[in-house]
Amino acid sequence: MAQSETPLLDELEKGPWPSFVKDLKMAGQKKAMSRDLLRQLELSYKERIGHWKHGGIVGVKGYGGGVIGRYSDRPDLFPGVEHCHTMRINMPTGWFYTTKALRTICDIWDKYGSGMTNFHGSTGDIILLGTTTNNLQPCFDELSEKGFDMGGSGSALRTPSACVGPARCEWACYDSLDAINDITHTFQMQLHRPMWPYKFKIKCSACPNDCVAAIARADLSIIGTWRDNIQMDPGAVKEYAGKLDIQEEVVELCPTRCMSWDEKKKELKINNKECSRCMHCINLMPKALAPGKDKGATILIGGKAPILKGAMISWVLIPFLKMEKPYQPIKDLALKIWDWWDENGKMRERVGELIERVGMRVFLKEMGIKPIPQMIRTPRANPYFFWWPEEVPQKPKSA
Amino acid sequence: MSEEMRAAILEVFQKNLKKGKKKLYIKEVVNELPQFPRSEVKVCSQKMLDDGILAYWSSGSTTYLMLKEEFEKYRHEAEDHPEEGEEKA
Repeated sequence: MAQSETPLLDELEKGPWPSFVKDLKMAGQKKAMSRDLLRQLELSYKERIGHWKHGGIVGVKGYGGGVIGRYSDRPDLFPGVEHCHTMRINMPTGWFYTTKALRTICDIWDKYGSGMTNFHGSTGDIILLGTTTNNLQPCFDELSEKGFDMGGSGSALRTPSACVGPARCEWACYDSLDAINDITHTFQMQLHRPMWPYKFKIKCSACPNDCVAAIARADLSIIGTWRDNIQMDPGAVKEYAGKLDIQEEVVELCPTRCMSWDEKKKELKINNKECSRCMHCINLMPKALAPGKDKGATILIGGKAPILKGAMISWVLIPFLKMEKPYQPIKDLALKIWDWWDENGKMRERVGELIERVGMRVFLKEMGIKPIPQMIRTPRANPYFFWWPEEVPQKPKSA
Repeated sequence: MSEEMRAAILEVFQKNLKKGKKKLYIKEVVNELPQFPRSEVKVCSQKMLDDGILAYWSSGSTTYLMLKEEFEKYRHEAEDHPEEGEEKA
């Protein structure tokens, strides 16, 4: 029996879970790039060192992003991955495809690339893994002819992304799909021509469940909410009482303790003023409870995953905003934030890090937004806020 | 866009190149030209990218600008040790 070229990677095929090694071996039957990718990875496992060289090429004609350049540092051993660039393609909003569209992408990628894909990258783009420099432009030209466009990379606006929103979710408080589609079309220049200190991400979640994790990842989060009372169907609440311990599983897990349950009357009461929109009760009793009717979004600023500095959770900037076409308040705010960040941010400093460095009050002053209680960083933990001296009412001097 | 600004931007790149620095953040270019408004330096740099005088260079997470002729020499000489936080693609 022939000895395997990748004994270390073969270990990852064992077990009941899916294996990328198995997938790459399948792809390798058709393409030398996939075979050499595995062989290079085997060498990296053996030597415990990566064999990729990073950077260089950025995109196709007229674009400053969308391609992540990668080269093997051992092209003598692995000529198939001498160039192994990734193309980021802007996904359809909400990740809805026809099978025809998927076949189109795959056919084009089989022609110009390794055939390997990642549906989807963490930002949400279609990731086409592995092609050569010469194939970038013709691949893009064909994709573009079929209606696809590059996604974002580098120091630019990254591909804006949204949850499936009202297309499939009854909790949607606004049309996240339309909002992100509109925002993406409006900010094409910012997406394709990097000119900022670092990356900037916009993500739309249509309800506080925040299925795209905007609050933890996006520089500008637009998260659906409501400002009236949670809708309740008392009859449906009673039905839940038979199969759910409402006191233990709903009321006692409410983070703000804004609910009470009368076991005798089978009656649920909500002090809506104290509700922090955690969605726990609605998620547990979807037939009985629903978001209110006066819907919109909360705008938050400064979230990011750990890269240069640690992770940061977003900070409430505008507690409630009606989300209506053409979403002008959001667009105006984004332009203002970018201008300020671009001028004041250090190289590779995200907007949240800049706000942390100079202080929220400076940011709010520059944005022309008044500080309000909902903006405190950690609700119910520390309400302390540094006010500008002129904002503090002066006591009349006693005679 | 003034010829004066184009020349000044080119000079920034050439001066840094002499010091061995091929790639510049756009912010570094802007900071070296305080006599011009920031937004105009950016517009002018974009035009110089379109005209093929400058070129983008990206690590995946961060974008730099460099002289096009240097980019052509350098494009396949990617970095062995990327900066912390480079995108894995």
